[in-house]
Amino acid sequence: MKKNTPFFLLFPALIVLLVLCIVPLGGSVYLSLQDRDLRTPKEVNFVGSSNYLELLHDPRFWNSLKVSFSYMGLVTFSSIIIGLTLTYLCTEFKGKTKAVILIIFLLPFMIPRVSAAIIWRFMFFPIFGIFSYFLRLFHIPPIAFFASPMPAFFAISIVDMWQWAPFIAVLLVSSIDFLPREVVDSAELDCSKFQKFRYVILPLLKPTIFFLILIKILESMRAFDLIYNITKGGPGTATETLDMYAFYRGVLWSGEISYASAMSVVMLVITIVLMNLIWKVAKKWVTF
Amino acid sequence: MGYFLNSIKKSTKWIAILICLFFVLFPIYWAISSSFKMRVDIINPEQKFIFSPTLEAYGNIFRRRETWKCFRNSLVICSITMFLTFLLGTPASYVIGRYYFRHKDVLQFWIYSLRFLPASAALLPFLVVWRSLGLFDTYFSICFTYLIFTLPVFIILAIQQFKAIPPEIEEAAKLDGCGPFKVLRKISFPIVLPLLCCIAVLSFTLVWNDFMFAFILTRDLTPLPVYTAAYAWIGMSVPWPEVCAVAFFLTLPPIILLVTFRRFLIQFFSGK
Repeated sequence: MKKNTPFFLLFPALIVLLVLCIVPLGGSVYLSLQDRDLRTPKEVNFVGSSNYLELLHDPRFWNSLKVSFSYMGLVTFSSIIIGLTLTYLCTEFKGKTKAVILIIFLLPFMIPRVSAAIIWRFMFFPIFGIFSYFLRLFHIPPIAFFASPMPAFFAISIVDMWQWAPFIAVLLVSSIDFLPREVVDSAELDCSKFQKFRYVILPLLKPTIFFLILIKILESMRAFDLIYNITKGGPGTATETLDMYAFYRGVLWSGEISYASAMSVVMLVITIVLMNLIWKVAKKWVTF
Repeated sequence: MGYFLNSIKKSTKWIAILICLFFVLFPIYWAISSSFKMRVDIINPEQKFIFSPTLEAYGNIFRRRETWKCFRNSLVICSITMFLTFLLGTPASYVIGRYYFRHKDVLQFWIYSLRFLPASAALLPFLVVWRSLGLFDTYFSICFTYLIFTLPVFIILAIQQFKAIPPEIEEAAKLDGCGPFKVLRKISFPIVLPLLCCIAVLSFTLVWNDFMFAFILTRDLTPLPVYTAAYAWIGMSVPWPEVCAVAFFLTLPPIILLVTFRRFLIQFFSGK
């Protein structure tokens, strides 16, 4: 249609993005084949696949993989379910009230994750935390949230849900307004509100929901900031996710950056598989 | 009877939404109120809901020079990144939003997918690169690495704004003999500028809220989130009022932005 596309306007951003894409992709594969160490400046040798073989025999790696996946599953599932419930609740309201509710729902998402983590860590704190107080009101013995694996895991998940479920509701509610008006309105004539939501709106929202699920999955793979600030991966390694273990091994404890890069290559592969899935879905449902 | 049932229905929906709002807002309220308490009141397991507020915690954190240093670092890093994002992102999103070329969808998706690169895969190679170039812990290296997530977000959102401009306006300018660059500068850019500013501010908050990148890539140029996190891990007896105060201080800019742009957001969410 238009012949002389001004590609030169595109180039500065494209060059920067290419650098930002190639360095991580190429860099982590390159690093993972070496025996580079950040602490001791020695000669760097290529060691082939030995980092990967070491990974296979590292129980801590398998543990972190397990934690990552169960965290991902739990958080994604529950925040989508809660988000949908909140969406249904929001559709009951109209106009200004709805807008104000949505703004409040946006609040937890706007808060820096560090602050969110600290706020909740404070509330979960064993003796003087507000949760212990509420539990005492109901005569339930206090739970030491960060002393045993399961409560710590759930504590982190709750914080993630607190940030994400209302945000998902906000996105879904605002995408309801873009659905075909005639279909939604005609349902109003002979359905109850719940039926309208369940049988008309929900099927129409399916692509959006699927999209959100995949984005939430990818997003919960980078929960380092949240988990680090609530439990630091503890107790033991009960809440240590894959990226956390990679950072510990690669930067914070010991500088085995090549070994850590092997882990990040594993994460890259997972991400790329998921991205391909999203791409297929997007091609089917979304027109760019 | 029908009227009675109806009013029950109405009140249940209000009760439900109020419970939800309580869960959303209570943690924020609790942190803010705790930052005004004395340390004695905080350690008391019998919670005090009514207390005499003090500014002691705020005094303690603002007296420390480090707080201001980290605040300044954060401001500088976020501003530079926002500016770079705006500068690089605007022309690119104009071309993608306004012109048709082959594999545009692939390009768009590729840009978007960069945002989801695993953090460790992005950070470890960049750490090595910046170290070997001698650029570790400089403003340039930090801001450049931040572009990895601000630029895709900016471009994806800005494309929509450029698409929304009616093409007739640009056609008219072209008929009058404007080149593509002049069309962007004189016609399209002024129209979308307010929205682009909103998106740029959004990328500012993205960087402001980030902890991971700053945690790995800085030593002396620590921004506020890393400082806050370090504050919350001091030894066994964490100074909770101070920690809550720092966390609140860190949260203020995003909240201020949310409140400032609420008119725009309400408009956006009421579907106009």
